Amino acid sequence: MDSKYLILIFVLLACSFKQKEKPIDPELLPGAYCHSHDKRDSIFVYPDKTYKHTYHRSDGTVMSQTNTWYYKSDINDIFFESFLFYNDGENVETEDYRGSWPAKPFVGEKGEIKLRYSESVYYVKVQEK
Amino acid sequence: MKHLLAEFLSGEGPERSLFYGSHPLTKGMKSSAVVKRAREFYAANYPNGGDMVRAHFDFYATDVPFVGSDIEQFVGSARVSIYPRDGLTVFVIDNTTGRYSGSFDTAKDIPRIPGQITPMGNIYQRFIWIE
Repeated sequence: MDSKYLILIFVLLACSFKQKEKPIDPELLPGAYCHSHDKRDSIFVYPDKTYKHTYHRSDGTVMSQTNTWYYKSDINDIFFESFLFYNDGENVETEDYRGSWPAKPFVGEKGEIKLRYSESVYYVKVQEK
Repeated sequence: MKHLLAEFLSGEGPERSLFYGSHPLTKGMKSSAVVKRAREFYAANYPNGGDMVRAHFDFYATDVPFVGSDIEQFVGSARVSIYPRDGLTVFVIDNTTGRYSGSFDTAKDIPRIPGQITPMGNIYQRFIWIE
């Protein structure tokens, strides 16, 4: 096999080896989380399996919702029931399309707990329960 | 697909794009590895149906040799929403194209600056179809 193909395969494999995410102790999940890119967006995860999601809009109004959460250790996902995504624009999701949001909890480089939204966006725990 | 890549690189064109089921790019996304993972995840974790919103699914470098369309490789990782409605299922795929995902997590994203052309600034795509 041509050496350039071997190098390509090696690079592809190296890129794909992400550190395997270990299940998180559910006891560590409760706390206050802040959006990594929008500090106005917060999730409060309570030990009684409820959560509160708040968003402080620039017009001074506060959007808020409360519902329940549960954790599935076999896939290491936390599910937020009837979750709504907020933003500061007019594109707020409608009530018809609120559903269960599965987020992947993981431990960051500094030991902080994060809930993944996308490749580079997450909620990070800023306060214990 | 070419115009999305050009818009991302040049910073011109719309920041947000919407594609419906009849669009060729949407057809390419239907058979993507990310959507396949989303279907499997939904079947395993939503046995009673219900709505799944913006679940993130990764696209790995090892997926590259097996992609079926250019748009699949361009989109890469994405958030997938699945809404069962009246015997049909609505799929919504949300993707952010930025330097971070394009570099397999090695470069920081940069947001587009309103009123200015921002080469390689984030652009967003949404694909919607019903099955």
